[in-house]
Amino acid sequence: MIFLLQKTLQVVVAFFVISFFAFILVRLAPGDPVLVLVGERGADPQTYKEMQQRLGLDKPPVVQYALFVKNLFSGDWGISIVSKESVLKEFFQRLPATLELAFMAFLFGSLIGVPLGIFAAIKRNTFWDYSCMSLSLLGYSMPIFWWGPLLILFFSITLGITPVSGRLDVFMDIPFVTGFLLIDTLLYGEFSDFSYFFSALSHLLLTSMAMGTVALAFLSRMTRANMIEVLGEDYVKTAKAKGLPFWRVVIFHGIRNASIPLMTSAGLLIGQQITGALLTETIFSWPGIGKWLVKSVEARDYPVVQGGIILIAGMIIFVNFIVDLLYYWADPRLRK
Amino acid sequence: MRKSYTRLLLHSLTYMGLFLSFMSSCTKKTKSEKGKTLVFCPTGGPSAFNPQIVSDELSSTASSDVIFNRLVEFKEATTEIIPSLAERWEISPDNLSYTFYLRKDVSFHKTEKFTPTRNFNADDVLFSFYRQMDSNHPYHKVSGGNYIYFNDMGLKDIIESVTKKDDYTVAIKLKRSNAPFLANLAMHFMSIHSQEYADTLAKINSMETLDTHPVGTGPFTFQSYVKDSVIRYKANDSYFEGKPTVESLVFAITADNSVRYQKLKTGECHIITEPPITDLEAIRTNPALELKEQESLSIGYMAFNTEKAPLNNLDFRKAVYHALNRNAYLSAVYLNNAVLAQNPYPPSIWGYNDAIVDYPYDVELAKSFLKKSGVSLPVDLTLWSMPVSRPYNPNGKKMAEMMQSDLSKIGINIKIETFDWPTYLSKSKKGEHQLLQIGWMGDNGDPDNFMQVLLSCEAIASGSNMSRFCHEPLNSLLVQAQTEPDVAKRISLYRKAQEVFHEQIPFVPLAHGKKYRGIRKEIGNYIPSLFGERLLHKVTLP
Repeated sequence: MIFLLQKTLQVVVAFFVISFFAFILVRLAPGDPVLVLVGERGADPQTYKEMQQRLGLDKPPVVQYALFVKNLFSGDWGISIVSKESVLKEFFQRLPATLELAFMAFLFGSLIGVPLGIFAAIKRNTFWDYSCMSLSLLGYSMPIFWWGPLLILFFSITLGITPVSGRLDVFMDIPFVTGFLLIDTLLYGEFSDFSYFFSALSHLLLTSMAMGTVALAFLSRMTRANMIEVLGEDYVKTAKAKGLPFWRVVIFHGIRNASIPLMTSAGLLIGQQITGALLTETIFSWPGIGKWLVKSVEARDYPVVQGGIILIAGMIIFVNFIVDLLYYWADPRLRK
Repeated sequence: MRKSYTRLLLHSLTYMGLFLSFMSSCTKKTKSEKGKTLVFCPTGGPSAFNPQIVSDELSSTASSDVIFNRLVEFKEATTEIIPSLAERWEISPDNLSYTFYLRKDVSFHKTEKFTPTRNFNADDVLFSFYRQMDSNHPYHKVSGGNYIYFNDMGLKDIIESVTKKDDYTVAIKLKRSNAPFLANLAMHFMSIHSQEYADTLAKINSMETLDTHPVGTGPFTFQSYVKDSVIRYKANDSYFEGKPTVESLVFAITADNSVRYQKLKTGECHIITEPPITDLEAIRTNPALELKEQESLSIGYMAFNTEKAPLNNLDFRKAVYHALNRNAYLSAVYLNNAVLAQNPYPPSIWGYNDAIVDYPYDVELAKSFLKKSGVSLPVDLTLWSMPVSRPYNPNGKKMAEMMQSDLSKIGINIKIETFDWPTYLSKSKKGEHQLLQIGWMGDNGDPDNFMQVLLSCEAIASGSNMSRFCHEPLNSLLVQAQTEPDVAKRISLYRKAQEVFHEQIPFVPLAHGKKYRGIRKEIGNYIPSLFGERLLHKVTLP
């Protein structure tokens, strides 16, 4: 109970700090949103004043901040000064695209990364171990704005098996139901015409590979380290000594115990994934929150940048909270 | 053990390959089924679907070029004015009254939100003018009420009244004679909206919808927009100039330059704008692709703030002009995708004075002019370098460094400064700069649109005369040329004005950039127009 209270208090403080930084940072960056809004042709001083007033930017920053926090608590996250849509609405329209991508990237990373890590741990200090770990180091340090186009060149241009960018074939116009295209395309095809689904899947493939590379590298290294530690424990030695088959030792004693610290690291990975999404979505024209935020920063769309940062930070905090709970559930020592 | 791993790896690779090729074959099937869609890939999304309230090309391409028409239009890839919604017009001898006779067979688009009950008529023309002109018009304040172009072209001070003579005749009275007036009417912001649609929206209290869900008379009907991702249009089968050749049009917005180019290669885009400058050669040599090259109506230049010493000294300006190795910028900065400029507007616009002989790059000559100017050395000056890439100046930073080294040879020390683009523009409009890299993109193909905007005394206050150069002989030529209806006389006035410019050099002309589009070989009849993409409805697909 005290644990829960502590956590909640942490979350509240974190929110205040984040809201403050979100507010300050976007204003410290050079550039005037009114000037961006009127474009290269500019506006005469009177129009400029009117627009400033309409956007509420004529008030002193302290008043602006107070209003901003007050509105946050009443559930008003502001209106984008570019599109005039509510920030919350825009966020939730784009969130599914990013979640879908992040999920697939994570899936890609863990399906390959975890077995790779286990394999490397078993083959510790052999040629296999070294090559796996060098590859993962390479993957971890690969800048995405270079790796993305490289993947495009190989898979889309040379092999011609995946589309270059986007979420769905442009000829396909699917109504927005859940926002998760893998689900929406199945619904639209009524579970019999799978061409829409496959189009969505093939668009996801390259993008999630680009974004999942970091996850892959991270997870394989973490898995390897944890496995090596666990495999050196006394209970593993005992299990081996009892004459259990090697694969049983690895699966029931090794992986299970190594997976506990892995969960915490996976939680930390979420923040990393969001950062990755900012770049990946911009490169692959993926209409998610990453691209949305980048565009808003370019346009100095204050309400969207502020709201967007808080929402994303909130999401990361939430996921880490869930991870904490999972950890609690997976580690019997904590339950006492 | 080792063997089984290898086998497993091989198996999974084979299956993955099979799965991928199966998937790609599935997607290809749907593509051939819907082969009547033209895919156009621009670099970004529009900020609104109404050319009256925006000034950027992305917005006007997505709205004015495909959805709307104007009273008159530019003919294909030229600046010639031809009839459109007005089938003919008359101009009074004093050049103050214009009478437009409208087409009777034009209907507005039918969309999900609106079904027109009448054809296009004079009311729609009045609505489109008065929304921008009259600050008491019910629609004037909608969506911010900043009619950038209408004000910029000075129409507020030129138009006296717009009246309806009958349903198909509109009379426009001007306060003073204005030669480029007809060309202004062909510009994006003079697109004609439906008054009936506006009234319908006003009744349900959703006036801003007019600027987000447009209804026009053009070749394509707006369907939907997923922000910064996809815009969909359907062909307007009852388009008055004939049914478009394609059934639908899609704008697949792709911000990343190289990704856009890759999409052209795979056929996911039929037409891309602004292909990466480093890949132009690859597009030229690729048998499946074609590069469309066009001289853009633009000029890149370096302005002297002539209100500040020593830049108000003509000999000093000449020294700088001679010291700049502008040909070197062409290859290093423009990568040879531009032509050297010597006059204030490009040779593709009429009245261009080709008799003028450019000042050559000559360091010795520069030094002698510097001596003659009496300015004591060394001189410290600040040069502002452009923070963004434009066809008229693709790499401001690099150019600034080259200018810095050129000018250091004659003893001028340059400090390079820059700001974010909106700040850069607003500061230079206020005249806070000394030396400034800047440029201008033409709007209507009239010389007035360069000369008046960049060099008249009046344009100092509005900020577009960034040399802040007010020279009586030049200014009177420009005013005369603006009101003179006779084209032959205007030509000789502008040729003379260019001579005065050449004597005075308020700015150093650098280059006229070129504009590029990459297209797939299999699409036919694509003509890039000078002011965007007005001819997409004529493109044929295989």
